[in-house]
Amino acid sequence: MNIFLKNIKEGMYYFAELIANLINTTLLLFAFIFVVGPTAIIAKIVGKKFLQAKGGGADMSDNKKKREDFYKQF
Amino acid sequence: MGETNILGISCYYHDSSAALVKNGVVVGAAHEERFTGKKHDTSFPLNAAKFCLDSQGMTIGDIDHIAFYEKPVLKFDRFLSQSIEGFPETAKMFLRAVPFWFTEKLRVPRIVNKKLNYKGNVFFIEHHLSHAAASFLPSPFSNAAIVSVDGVGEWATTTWGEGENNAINLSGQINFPHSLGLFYSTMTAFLGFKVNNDESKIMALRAYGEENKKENEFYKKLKQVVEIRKNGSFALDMKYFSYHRGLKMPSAELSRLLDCPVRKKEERLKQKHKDIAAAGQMVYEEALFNLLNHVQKETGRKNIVIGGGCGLNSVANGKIINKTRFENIWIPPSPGDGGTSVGAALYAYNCILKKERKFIMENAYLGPSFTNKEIKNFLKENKIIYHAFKNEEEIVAKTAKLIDENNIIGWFQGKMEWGPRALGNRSILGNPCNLRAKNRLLKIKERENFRPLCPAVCREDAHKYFHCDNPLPKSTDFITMVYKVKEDWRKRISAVVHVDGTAGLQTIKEKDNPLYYNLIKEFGKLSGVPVIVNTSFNLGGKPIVNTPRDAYDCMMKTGIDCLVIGNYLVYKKENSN
Ligand SMILES: [Fe+2]
Repeated sequence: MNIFLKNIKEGMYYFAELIANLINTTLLLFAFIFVVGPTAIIAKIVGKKFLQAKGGGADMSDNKKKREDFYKQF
Repeated sequence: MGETNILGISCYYHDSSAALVKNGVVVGAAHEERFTGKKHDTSFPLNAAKFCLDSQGMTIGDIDHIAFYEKPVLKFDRFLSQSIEGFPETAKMFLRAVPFWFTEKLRVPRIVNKKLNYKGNVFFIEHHLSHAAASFLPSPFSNAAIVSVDGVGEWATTTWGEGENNAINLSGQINFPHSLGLFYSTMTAFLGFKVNNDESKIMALRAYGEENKKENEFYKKLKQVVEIRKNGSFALDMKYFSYHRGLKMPSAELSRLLDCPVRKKEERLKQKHKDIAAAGQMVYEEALFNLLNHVQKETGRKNIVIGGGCGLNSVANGKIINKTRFENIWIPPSPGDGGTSVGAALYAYNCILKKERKFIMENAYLGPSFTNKEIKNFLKENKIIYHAFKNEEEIVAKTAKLIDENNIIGWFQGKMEWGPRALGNRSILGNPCNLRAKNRLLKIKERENFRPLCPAVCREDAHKYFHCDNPLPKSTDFITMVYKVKEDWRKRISAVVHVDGTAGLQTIKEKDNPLYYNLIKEFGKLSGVPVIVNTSFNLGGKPIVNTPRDAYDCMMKTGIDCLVIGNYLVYKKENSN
């Protein structure tokens, strides 16, 4: 009986993981197609290049920053 | 004045690690992979952090600051930019990576709080500042030019600037996707090897290729791939790459250019593959020396420190003094991402808290160690047959004799090394005068026969056997340079001489590791050459051994003849049943 319950529990765990993965992938696919996609299309139309841009990198010179700046994740 | 303790953390990309800086001194540092047994482990370095705290008798309550090695939101910005720019090809990359961003990479403060029970704020230090700090702050120089050459951090792939006392100023950077590290990794993938793991194989293979630029047809072709500019920078022609779209590293266009398909893992290595490796290394070196010469001109400094994963390219490193106007060089034992926990913690202490520099990394012995009592208990509990040495002189005399008799030794002593290389505390040792020993070692390590083994030599003897830079850089202690072996000795120590007459040597100072130093000297008395073979103590595809159990298991699973562990000698043949 114990083994049976254990197997059921394990089965349910895998099933839940499968469902979670399925939902995640669906949501992400949705975001990729309907958020990333249109942004990419608009960027292409207006000629915006994301990767060649020099920007994006932080100003890494040491002496201008305050301690609080290093608490930021950006 | 109270103590200031800072814990540095690096994780979620490759080679996660933790380091502890106590009043400006690095007192402990370790890579997570050594505890989990998973090579290049990227997970949160809980075991490494625990080791750092335990080794100093501290708890998390004693930690004043935690320093994380990069700024996650900036990196996420680059990831999103990549996803948009490469749409729709980036779908796979996007779907795979996004869950990790939201569950781990963008939740560092919460994870630190949850896993370490740390309540304070976390310092986030840019990836390349962490690299720069890891290479400059523990260096022996009070001022130096700093160059970090890497795969990629947040946006920057390459940065340069200067360091003076406890200040670092990075004045130049090259951004993703233009990356010398990713160029080298692309060549690694093109030749059928594993990215972020097998780059050293390309470094070894290039010696079998055509190294004359006029004769190597691939060199001219690869020069079209990397544009080397007069202002010291470089740019990649991205049509030859796919990594920026989250796909395989080289694009089909690169195969067309080189008129060669991507080599399959099991495919036999042909001469053209060796020539491509040589061409890749030559182009990499040209771009690097061009950048370094520009930085030297810009900064006027005589000293150079190198950070970033490309700092592991010891073949190029060994030529820097010759090919540039720099006079002195230092490279840390762990220049790659694994070393950034030290960089982040030192940066917090020296640059954010603005406290003076107190630490020079004289050696890399910063990891876990085991007492003779602990080792003896392990041997007894597991009913392992062992022999006890009376003292250190006996360890040295017996081990030197065993090496001279062509035995392969598992050498487990003192504190584990910081960085990817074994430096005489978690090493496999052998006789450099014996080619059979070399073949046995390659077999033990499951290494391809084109790969060389490293010699270890005492610092004062290095110039006798090798054409080293003069003065001998301190960081040759960390196997960061490849030099030519002197012609007169190549035959004698043939097991450590690569096909082009070079060797990636490790030098040793007596005060850093007297036991290892004396062993090499003693072997010299028996063999006539004070040089031994040193390779990392691990199974192929596994991290370097961490515990007596790891060391014993490694010996029993391989062709290692005996284990010299602390004060004890264990023969494999006596324990084989
Ligand atoms: Fe890096």
